[in-house]
Amino acid sequence: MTSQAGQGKPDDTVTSQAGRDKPDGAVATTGEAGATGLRAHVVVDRGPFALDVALDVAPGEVVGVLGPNGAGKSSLLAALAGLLPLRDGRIMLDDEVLDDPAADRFVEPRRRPVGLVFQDYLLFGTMSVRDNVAFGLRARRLASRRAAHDAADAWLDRMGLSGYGPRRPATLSGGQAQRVALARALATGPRLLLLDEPLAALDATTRVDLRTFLRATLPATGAAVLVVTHDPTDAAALADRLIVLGSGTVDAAGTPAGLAENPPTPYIAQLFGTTAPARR
Amino acid sequence: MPAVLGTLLVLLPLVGLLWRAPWDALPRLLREASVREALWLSIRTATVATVLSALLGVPLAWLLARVEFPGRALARALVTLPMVLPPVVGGVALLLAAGRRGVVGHYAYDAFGVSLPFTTTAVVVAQTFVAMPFLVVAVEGALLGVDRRYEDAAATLGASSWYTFRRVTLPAVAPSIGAGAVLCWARALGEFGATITFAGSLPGTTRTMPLAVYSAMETDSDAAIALSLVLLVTSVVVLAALRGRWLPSARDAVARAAQ
Repeated sequence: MTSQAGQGKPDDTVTSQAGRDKPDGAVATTGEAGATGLRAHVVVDRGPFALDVALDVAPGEVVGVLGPNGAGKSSLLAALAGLLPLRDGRIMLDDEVLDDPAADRFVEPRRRPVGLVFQDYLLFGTMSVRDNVAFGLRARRLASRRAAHDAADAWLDRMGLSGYGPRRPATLSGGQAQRVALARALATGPRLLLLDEPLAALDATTRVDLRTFLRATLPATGAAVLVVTHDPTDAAALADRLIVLGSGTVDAAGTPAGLAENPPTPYIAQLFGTTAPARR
Repeated sequence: MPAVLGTLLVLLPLVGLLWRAPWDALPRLLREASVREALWLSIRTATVATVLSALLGVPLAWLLARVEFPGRALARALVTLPMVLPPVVGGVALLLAAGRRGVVGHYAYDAFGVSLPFTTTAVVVAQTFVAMPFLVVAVEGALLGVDRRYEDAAATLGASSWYTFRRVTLPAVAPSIGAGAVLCWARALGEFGATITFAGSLPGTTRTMPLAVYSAMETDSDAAIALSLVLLVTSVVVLAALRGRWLPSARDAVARAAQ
């Protein structure tokens, strides 16, 4: 795992919020001794091609999945979350088998300690921001209504959204909605966190702010984190390690710096050709 | 020109009704026991039929929209059949099924000596039979329009399918349930054919407003006109409620999203 702490320029308030103690009842199981993170070999059929990807992500590590549209990035996340059952392979998270068709084992999405942040957030529009964040704790019966609300407010504080609890998701900006979606996913203490194009829907300024925020926040969750993006700048800024997907298979893997210096394929050279100087 | 004719065809009878209305006698007519009886019976039965339609219709709509099963297309057609079936045929069918000698009804009669037809319950059953499809169609359409990925999101947060339905899906389709319930209530309130066939026209028990209008036309046309006015006003209120409550709120939502 390569640290890139010097890369972003974390905002002071954000860092201190991210480093604060976690709210009650949240993130109970991350960072324990013996946690091995994600070890997965994902094989699913998706239309014209089969996705066949092997990847490991350690707890606290952020791995970027890069690739063009249609390379299978979203299918990979869906399979890890349990929304798309494997045809072959195996998904293990901290010694728990989540999906193994050969052994006839499949853990339903709702029983997986996996958080998924969707590209367009999918906040529940009929409930308040606070109820959105508290949703997972309430659904899993991990907390009473009041305790779940307190935990949700604490998460909103950490996300720099103090006082936004009573508001409706429709009144939030894109960057705020993305933070609420992240808080909602983190509130149940997932050991694997999946982010699907977290910056794609944002305008340029918000994008830079949120990238800095995520760079500081994601490793601090203690979860194994997988960030899908088609943007090499975002990938390099957020991830310790990158995996580049072609049509369903891993074209290349390595640190952002390593891939930029020694691009193994013309596609990767082209990807990093324009962005490598900017990251010095 | 055909458009003007069409408008006149709809408008003229209503103008006629208002023109001939016995405005002076109206307060007295509406206070008459038989009128109040019919009005109260109609409101009660239509409301119970609407609640029943919601309790049965929402799960039915969910089944049709979300569960793949053999014969789903046929089930969907059967559920909506009462919308196009002449109501009097529905009444005959209900009588043959639930009557004292009916396919199902004779068991109840033989065992308990109870018989459904010509009771207030029969009125509710007839109204539900005719009006429930309006609610089912409205709710099914709304369920088909809901983005399923919200349910995926709820599942990844640990919600069971029941919890997801209750907290996510049901609130999302609540406006459609409301609109469907109002349509359903209005249809039940105006029910005539199935009611008179299956429940008869017994004053105080099964003689709802439309039946009272029909029987009053033979004896006291002023009373019939007064009752018709009440039904007309109710329809206008329902229309206004649907426009004022649901259509502008949809417009607001679009405006908010566009910001």
